[in-house]
Amino acid sequence: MDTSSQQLLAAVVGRLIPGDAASPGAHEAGVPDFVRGELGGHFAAEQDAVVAGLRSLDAAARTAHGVSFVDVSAADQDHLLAAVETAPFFEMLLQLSIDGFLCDPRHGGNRDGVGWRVVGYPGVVLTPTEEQQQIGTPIGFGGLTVEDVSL
Amino acid sequence: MSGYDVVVVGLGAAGTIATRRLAESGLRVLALEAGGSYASTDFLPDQLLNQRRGALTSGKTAAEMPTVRRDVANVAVRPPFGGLTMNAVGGTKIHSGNGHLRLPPWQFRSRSNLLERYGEQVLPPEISLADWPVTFDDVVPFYDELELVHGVSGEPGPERFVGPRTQPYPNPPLRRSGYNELMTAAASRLGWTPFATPAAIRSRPYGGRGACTYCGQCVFNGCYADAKGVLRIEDVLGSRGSVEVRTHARVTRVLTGSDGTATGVEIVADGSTTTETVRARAVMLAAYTYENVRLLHLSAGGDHPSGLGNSTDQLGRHFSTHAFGFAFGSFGGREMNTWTGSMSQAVSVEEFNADHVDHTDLGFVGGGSLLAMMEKLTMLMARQPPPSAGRWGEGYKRWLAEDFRSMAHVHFWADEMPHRDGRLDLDPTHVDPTGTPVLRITKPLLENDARSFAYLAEQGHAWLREAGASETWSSPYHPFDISPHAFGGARMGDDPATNVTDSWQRLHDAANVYVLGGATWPSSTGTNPTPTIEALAMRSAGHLVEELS
Repeated sequence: MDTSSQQLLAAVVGRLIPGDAASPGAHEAGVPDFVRGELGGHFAAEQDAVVAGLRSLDAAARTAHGVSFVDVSAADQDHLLAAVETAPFFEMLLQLSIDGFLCDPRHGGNRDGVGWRVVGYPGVVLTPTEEQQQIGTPIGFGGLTVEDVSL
Repeated sequence: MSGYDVVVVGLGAAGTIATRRLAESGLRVLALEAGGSYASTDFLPDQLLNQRRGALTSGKTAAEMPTVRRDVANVAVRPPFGGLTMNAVGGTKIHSGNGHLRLPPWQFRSRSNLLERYGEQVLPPEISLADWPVTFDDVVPFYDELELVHGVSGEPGPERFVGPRTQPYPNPPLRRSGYNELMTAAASRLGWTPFATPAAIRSRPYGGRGACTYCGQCVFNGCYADAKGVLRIEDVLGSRGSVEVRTHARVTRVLTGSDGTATGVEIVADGSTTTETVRARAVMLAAYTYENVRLLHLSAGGDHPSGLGNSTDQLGRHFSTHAFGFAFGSFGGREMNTWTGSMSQAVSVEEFNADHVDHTDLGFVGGGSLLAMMEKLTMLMARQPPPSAGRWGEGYKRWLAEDFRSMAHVHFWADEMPHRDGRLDLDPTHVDPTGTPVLRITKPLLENDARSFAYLAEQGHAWLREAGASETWSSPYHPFDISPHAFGGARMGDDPATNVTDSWQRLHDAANVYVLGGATWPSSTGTNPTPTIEALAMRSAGHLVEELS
């Protein structure tokens, strides 16, 4: 994937699961790198269509705002994305972004467990106690991944 | 090659339990499995691997899944979603939630029961529902034995829904979580009779096997703790040395003699291009619904040019599945802690299954189980935000950060009706990697099934709201043609003119060929099918032992 496509991809993914003052988002969790890896690996067959979609999105930004998608405001980026949210390339990026935000960190996304921490998922807990299955008692972030446990 | 008494085709739930029964008799048995076998340590707690990439299932689904069309005027296509079944010793039960309910006694004569209660007009002509040729009482001894084999965990449910029981479950119910207790209390306030979902998951060590640790990596994955009621090779061999198991061997056709009965099967080992012939006095087809029906079609020849068991043009008819649904609730900012546990660490409500509610004004027949369950799979359920949050962007992110933890769910599936014009046959163009045609599903949709699904979703909403959910929503109805709950194609019934198999699940056309699994079911029912599939497989295996002795 060329540099400009990578920048577009990062900008899009950053708006699908945006970070804000309250909590980190896709960028902080390393999702752009994960998505790029998936499009070069498991979903290699989809990469060309995704790149074409990103370029058409960029063209729409230039037509509407005179600059690249990566340089328009977040609000305008959201408007441009809303116009393509039924396109297959958008769906692919959304699904991969969710994967990259919440997968086991060993796959390259959810860096340092950022995504798990945001949603309150404790990480891999093979033997939760009775208390940890009660309502209202935060389990706390265990931080364990499949790499840390022995079966 | 020397002959066997019985060849069992497929070592999933049905094939393993049947082989286990045959092993006690000392008959010479060859059990064949297209996949391999797994150890507990193979099952990694990794949802990207298991749920998203289908680590256990993608091999089978990429290779041999059926094509689908709605009617004969269209060309069938491969559906985008490949399915959830897997090839291995133990079969799809390896990664299932393993809910273990018996069928409600009502289900065994559902057609007659409906006609008696509501009159002839209740079933439109395109719904080809039929009574079963066996009764609840015929199956009970096998249900009882099966619970002891697997160490099923549970508590007796309400007898008017789940039938009478004469023995306790061998293990107590899986642990009751906070969410389970909340939903039990809510169901009781609604006047329902909730109970702990029986599960083929051991709540304590049993028979040398492990107990559940509530890890939350239960479905789409096998059990690292060996707590699931899944039989392994050593469980089916018996003590008499008369059973051989062969994995990575695929049956390509059933061979028949001049009198039309089976003489054995033809097999191809993985990586080989040459076929081998195995001679046997009887054949038990225990592959999945699709593969069983496909094999019967592929075994056409001689006096059965249109498929084995198809002399009256009934093979492949009356197909139906379960469409899976979820109702979700948001419990305003509360930490629900449903991430862990098992899908079967659940509360069952059977009020809306079978005909337990009066359907007079409901506009559909049938129903299904409702379960309030643990194991909120992070990567699956993050794809089910409430409509108010949106699917992406700032609203979605806010939901992920603040309310995903407060989301809990109810699972359900509806009793889909068989359609008169549905059919399973061989696809004229799509083939598997060996060049063999895959199965083709022709399945018209029924308004009945969409209504039934919507009705169950409504009950899920009501249940969650009673429990305190501030917002509820549900997954949309869509047909689940490629389903791990698939039924019909080799319907059992006493009349050979309208059925492929008899009450022993034996072909009417070839008395030494048995079909085990959902393919024989005259109706889909609203209940987890596996326990009944297993019980019927045990019953058939017992019958075969008598026939051959």
